[in-house]
Amino acid sequence: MYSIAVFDDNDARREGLKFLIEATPNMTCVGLYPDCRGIEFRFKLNKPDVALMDINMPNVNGIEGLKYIKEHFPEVKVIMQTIFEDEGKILEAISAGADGYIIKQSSPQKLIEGINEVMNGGAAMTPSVAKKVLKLFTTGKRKMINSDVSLTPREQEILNLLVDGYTYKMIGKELFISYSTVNKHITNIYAKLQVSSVSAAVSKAIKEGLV
Amino acid sequence: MRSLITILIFFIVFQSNGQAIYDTIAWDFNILNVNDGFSAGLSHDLEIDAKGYLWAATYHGLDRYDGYGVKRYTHDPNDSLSLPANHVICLLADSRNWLWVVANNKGTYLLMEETNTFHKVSNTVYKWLEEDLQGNVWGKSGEFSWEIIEVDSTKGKHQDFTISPCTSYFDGFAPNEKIPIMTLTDNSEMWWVLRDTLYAYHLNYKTKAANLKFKINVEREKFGFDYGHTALCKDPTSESMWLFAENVYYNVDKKTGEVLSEYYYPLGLFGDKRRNSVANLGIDYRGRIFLNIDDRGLVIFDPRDNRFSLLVDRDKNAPRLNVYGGNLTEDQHHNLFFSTAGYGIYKHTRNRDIFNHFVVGDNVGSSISKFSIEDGDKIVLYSLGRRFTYDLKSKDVIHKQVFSKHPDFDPSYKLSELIPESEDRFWLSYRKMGHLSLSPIVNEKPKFPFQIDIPYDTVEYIKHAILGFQDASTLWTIFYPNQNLQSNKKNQFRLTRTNVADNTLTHYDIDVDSSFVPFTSFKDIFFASKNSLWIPTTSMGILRFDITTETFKHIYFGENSEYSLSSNSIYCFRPDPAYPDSILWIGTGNGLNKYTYAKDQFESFTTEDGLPNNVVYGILTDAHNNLWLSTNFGLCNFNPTTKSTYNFTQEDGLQHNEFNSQSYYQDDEGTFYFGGMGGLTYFDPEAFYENSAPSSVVINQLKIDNKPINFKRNQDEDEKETYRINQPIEQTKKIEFNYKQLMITFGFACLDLSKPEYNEFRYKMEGFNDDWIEAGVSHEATFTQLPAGTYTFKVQGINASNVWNRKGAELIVVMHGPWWKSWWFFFLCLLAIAGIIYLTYRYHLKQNEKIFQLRNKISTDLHDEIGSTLSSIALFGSVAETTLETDLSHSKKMLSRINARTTEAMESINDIVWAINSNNDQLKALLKRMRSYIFQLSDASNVEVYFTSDDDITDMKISMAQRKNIYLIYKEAVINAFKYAQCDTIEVQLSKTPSGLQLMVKDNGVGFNTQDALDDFSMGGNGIKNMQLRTDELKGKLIVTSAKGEGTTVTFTWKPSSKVV
Repeated sequence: MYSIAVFDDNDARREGLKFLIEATPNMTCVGLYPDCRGIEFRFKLNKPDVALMDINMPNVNGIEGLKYIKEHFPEVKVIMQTIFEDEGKILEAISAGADGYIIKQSSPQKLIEGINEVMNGGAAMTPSVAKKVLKLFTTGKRKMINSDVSLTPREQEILNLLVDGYTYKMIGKELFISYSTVNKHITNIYAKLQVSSVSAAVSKAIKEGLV
Repeated sequence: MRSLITILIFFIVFQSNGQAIYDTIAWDFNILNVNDGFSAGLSHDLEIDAKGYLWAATYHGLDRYDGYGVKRYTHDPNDSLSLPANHVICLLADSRNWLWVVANNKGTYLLMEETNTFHKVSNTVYKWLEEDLQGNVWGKSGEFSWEIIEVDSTKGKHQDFTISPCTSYFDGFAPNEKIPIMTLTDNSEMWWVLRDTLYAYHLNYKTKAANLKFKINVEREKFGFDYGHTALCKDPTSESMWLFAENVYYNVDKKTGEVLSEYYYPLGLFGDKRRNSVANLGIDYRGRIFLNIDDRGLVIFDPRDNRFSLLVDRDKNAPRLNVYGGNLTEDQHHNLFFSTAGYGIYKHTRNRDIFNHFVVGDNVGSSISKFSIEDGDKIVLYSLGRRFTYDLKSKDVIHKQVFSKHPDFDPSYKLSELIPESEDRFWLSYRKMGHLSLSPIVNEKPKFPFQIDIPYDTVEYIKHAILGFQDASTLWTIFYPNQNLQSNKKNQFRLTRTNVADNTLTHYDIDVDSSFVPFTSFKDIFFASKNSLWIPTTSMGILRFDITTETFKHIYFGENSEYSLSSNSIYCFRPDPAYPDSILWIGTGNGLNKYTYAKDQFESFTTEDGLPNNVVYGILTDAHNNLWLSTNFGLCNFNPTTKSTYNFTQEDGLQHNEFNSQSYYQDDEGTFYFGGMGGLTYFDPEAFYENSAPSSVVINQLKIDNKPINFKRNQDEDEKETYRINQPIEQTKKIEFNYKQLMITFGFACLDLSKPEYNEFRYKMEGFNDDWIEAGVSHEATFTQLPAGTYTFKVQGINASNVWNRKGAELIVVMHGPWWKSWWFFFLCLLAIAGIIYLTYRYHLKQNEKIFQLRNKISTDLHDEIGSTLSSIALFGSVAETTLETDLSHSKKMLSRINARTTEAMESINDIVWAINSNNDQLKALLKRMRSYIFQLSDASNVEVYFTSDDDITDMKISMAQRKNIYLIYKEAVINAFKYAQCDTIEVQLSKTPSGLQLMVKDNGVGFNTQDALDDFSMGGNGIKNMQLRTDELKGKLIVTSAKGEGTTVTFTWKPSSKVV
C-alpha cells in the first residue's frame, strides 16, 4: 500500500486524483495540497511514500517542492505531473531528483501504472525528453556537461530509439535486452542527470535556452 | 724694304718682354628676356641660389627663373612685407641659402621664401653685396666704403623674426681711406686699389681690426688715373693676384705683394682707345677671368697661358655683347649667365663650351669626311689626291700635299684616292681599265713604278674598291661583278688579298643572292681578329670572311627574324669597350646594332630607344665604357649597360647636326673628333662626366581647375577655404583639396638651367599610381577627380648631365571627399541602416514575443481552467466506472461531480472565448458582461445591485489581457460578496480617476479580517490571492478594505492600455 500526497493547484483535478487514488487497491491518498508550502509539517504528519507533484503552482512551485522533499525526505518518491510536455521543466525536475514523471493527459489507468512503475524502480522517458537529454550530453559545439559524466553508447542508443518513438518494449526487442534492462538504463540516465554538477548545468542550460 | 717692314711689325708686336696676343672666340648664347617672363631686359644683378634658381634684380621687380618661367616679386603698397621697392639694386644668395635683396631707397632685406616676405636687415642701400669665405656678408655702403652686415643667424629663419641690424666696421684703415674696389681673398685679406696704390689688409674678424700687410705703388703713367677703372682678380691657383690697370696688367705675389710680372695688353685688344676701363666680372670654373672692357665688350683672360680672347656672339645678328655692371654668374652646372645692357640675360651652357670646332677657312658650310689627326693639334684632310694639314686651333694650313702628277706618271692611269696605311704612311691608288695600282708615298712623292698592281678581267668585273690595309704587308680589295654576264659569275664578288712585299694575289669569290648585287658599294673593312674580316656594304649588309677556313658568311637584314641586322646599310664597327671579345657594336642605316658573338644575334637600338637619329655613321667609346654615336641628327652618348641615351645637337655647340660616314677619330689622349657637314667637332668626353651631381627638383606651381594658384599672404576666408595653402607651394609639405576641385595640376622643375627644355621628369601620386609615370620633358602633372584619401606626390627629374635626382621633391596631398562620401558619413549610414534593421528585428521580435506570450497565455488559461477541470472529469469518470458495480452511490457522487465540473468548464471556456474575441475590445463590452453577470446573480438573490459607470469611458479600448483580468477580478469580488458577505446591497462603480480607471465593488455585508484572509491558504483566502495575482499581472493596484461587520470594499485601479494585444 502506497500512501500518496497530491500537489495540484486545480481544485477539480486535486479532487479527481484523490478519488482515483482512493479507488485504486494498493494506494491511499494521504494529503491534498494546492501548492508546496508547509511540506515539512504536512509530511511529518502524513508520511507519504509518494508525492504526485504538479509543476506549475502558485506560491511555492513543484520544482522547489521537489528539491525540498529530496533534501529533507529523500525516501519519498516524487513523481512530476504536467499537462503538456514541458520538456525543459521535466528535465530540470529529473536533475533535481524527480523519480519519474507523468503526463497529465495520460489516461487514469496510465497514471496509476506510472505510479506503480516508479515504485518498482522504473523511470519514465518520453521521446521529446529523451531528445533533450541526448542534446544535453552530446552537443558537439558547446559541451554543457564536463566529460566525467557521459552517456554510455548503449544509453545513447536507447535514447535515440526513444526519440524515434520506440516504446520500452520495442527497444528491448530491437536491442535484444529485457524491458527491465531498458528501465535500468533509463534509471541510470536519471542518476547521471542527478549528479549535482550536471543538474547545475541543466538549470543553466535551461535558463539560457540551450536545451 | 719688305724685310724692314717685317722687322718693324715684329717690334711693334713684341715690343717688350712678352706682350701677349689675343684671339677672338665666338660663343653661342641663349638669351633670356621678357619673352621668358622676365620683368626687364636689363638686370642689375644676377644670382644663382643653392637650389639652382636664377634670380635677377631689375627696375621692375625681383625675378626668379626656373628654366620654364619666371616668378616675379613686386612691391604691393598694401603689404608691408612685400618687396619694398621694385627697383632692386643688387642681390646675394649666401652660403646659408638666404637671399639678400637691396631695394632702392629702402634698404637691405632678406627674402623669407617660406612666406614670400621681405624683412629689413639694414637701412643702408648697399651698392654691392659680397660674401667672404667666413660667411660674412659685405656691403658696399658708399662709393668707397665697405662694411660687414651682421644678422643674428639664430633668429634669422623665423617667420616673424626681427633682425637687429648690426654693421661692423673694421678699424685700422688709414684715415680717409676709401675702398673703391675690393677683393676678399681666401686668407682673410682684403685687397683694394686706390689711385696708383694697391693695398692689402689682413682682417682680424674677432677684434674687428684691419692690419696693413703691404701697399704697392705702381707707376702712375702705366696705371691710369681713374678709380673705378681697374680690376683686381684672384689667380685660380690662389698663389697670386692679377691687377688689370689701364695700360698694363700685373701679376702680384699674394704673400709678399711683390710684382711678379708686368704685361702690356695685346695690341688692338681695346680697339682704338688709348685709355682702357677694365672691370672684373669673375672667374669661371675653368679658372678663366672674365673682364668687361668699356666699348669693347667681354674679354676672357686665361691666366694659365696669359692669353686674352675677345668674346663675340656667334650669332652675328645679335646685339653687341656688352655686359652691364659686374654681372657674371655661374651656376652649379657651370653654365654662365651675363646680364647685358638691356638685351636680356645671356646664357652660355657648359656643353657649348666643351665642344670645339674646326672649320676650314671659316667657311661654315664646309663638310669634312675623311680626316686624320696628327699630334693632337693638327688635322689632316684628305680629298682626291690632296692631303692638307691644318692647325686645329688657328685653323691655319700648315702643310699642303697635292698628288696629281709625277714625273714618272703614266698618263693612262687615273689618280683614284689616298689610302692611309698607318698614321705616317700613305698610298696613292690609280686605276686603269683592267688594273688597280698603288704606290706608297715616299718623301711626299708617290713612288714609281707601282708597288702593287692588281690586274682584273674587265668582262667579269666592272669596278673595284680598296677596302684597306690589314697591316703593312696586306691589302684587301674587292671587285664588283658585271651584271650583264650570262653566267653565275654575275652574282660573284671577288675579294683579293695582296701581299704588299711581292705583289702576290689571293682571290676569294663571294656568291651572294642576285637581288643584293646592284647599287651596293664598299668603303671599309673591319678586322674583328687576325683571321676574321667584316666588310660593311651600303646595301647588302655585312660580308664576313674567315681567312683560315676561307669561308664567307653573308649577314643581312631579315624581315622576319627578330635577331637579324636592322639594316643592310652598314657604316661602322666598334668592339664593346667593356667586352671587346664578345660584343660588337655596329652603326647602320637603321639604328645601332649590338652583335653578340656567342649567340650570333643582333639587337637593335633606334630612335625608339632614345637615339637622335637612326643613321649611325660613327661610333667611339670613352673611358666610362659608353658609346658616342655620330648620326644624321646630332651626337648621342649611349650607355650600353642601362641603354640610356643623351643627345647633343647644334644647340649644345656641335658644329652641325649632320655628321659624315667614316669621319670619326679618337686620339691617344682620348679626344674625340667627328667630321660632319659644318666641319669638325672635337671634344674631351671626360668633360661630360665632370658634373654628374643631380640637380634640385622643386614643385613650384599649383593649378586648380587649370587656374594658377599663387599664394597670397592676405587671403580672405574664401580663398583660404578654396586653396588651403598658407604657404607658397614651394614650401608646402602638405596640401588639402576638396572634392569640388576636380583638376589639380602640379608644376615642377629640375633646376639645371643648361637645357631646361630637355630636362625630363617622372612622377607618381603614391596611393593612386602604382608605378612612376614617365612625363618626358613635360613639367606638369595633372590629376582629375582623385578619390578622397591621402597621397604623396613625388617627382624626380633628370638634368642635362643625365643624372636623375632620385630624392626629387614630394608633397602630401589630402583629397577630401564630399561629406556624404566621407568615412564618418559612411559609418553613420551604416550605423543607421544597422539600427533600422535592428529595430525592425526588435519590433518583430517583440511582436512575435507578444503573440507568443498571448498564445502561452491562452494555452495556460486553457490548461489551468479547462484542462485541469476536464482531466478531473476524466478521473471522476474513471472512479465512477470502477465503483459502478461495488458502490453505486459512490459512482453517483462521481457523476454529479462530473456534472458540476462540466458546467464550470463551459463557463470558463465562455470567459476565455469572450476575452479573446476582438469584438469585445471596447470597454462597453466589458461593462455589458460585468453588468449581466452581476444581475444574473442578483436575480437569484435578494441583494440589491447598483451598477454605475462614467459615460465618457465606454468607448475606450481595452486590451485582451486587461479585460480578462479585470473581469476575473470583478467576478471574484462579486462572488465573494454574494457567497460570504451576507450583504443587502452591492455597489459597482467604474470611473475614471487621475491615476487611471478604477473599479470599485462595495458591499454592506459582514466583512472579514483581511490579514486572516491572506494567511489562510485554504480555499477561502484564494479569492483575494487570485485577485492580487491578476492585479500584479496588470500592474494595477488592489485595495481591499474590510473589517468584521463593516462590509467590504474592493478597489482596483489600473492604467488602461489601448493596445489590443
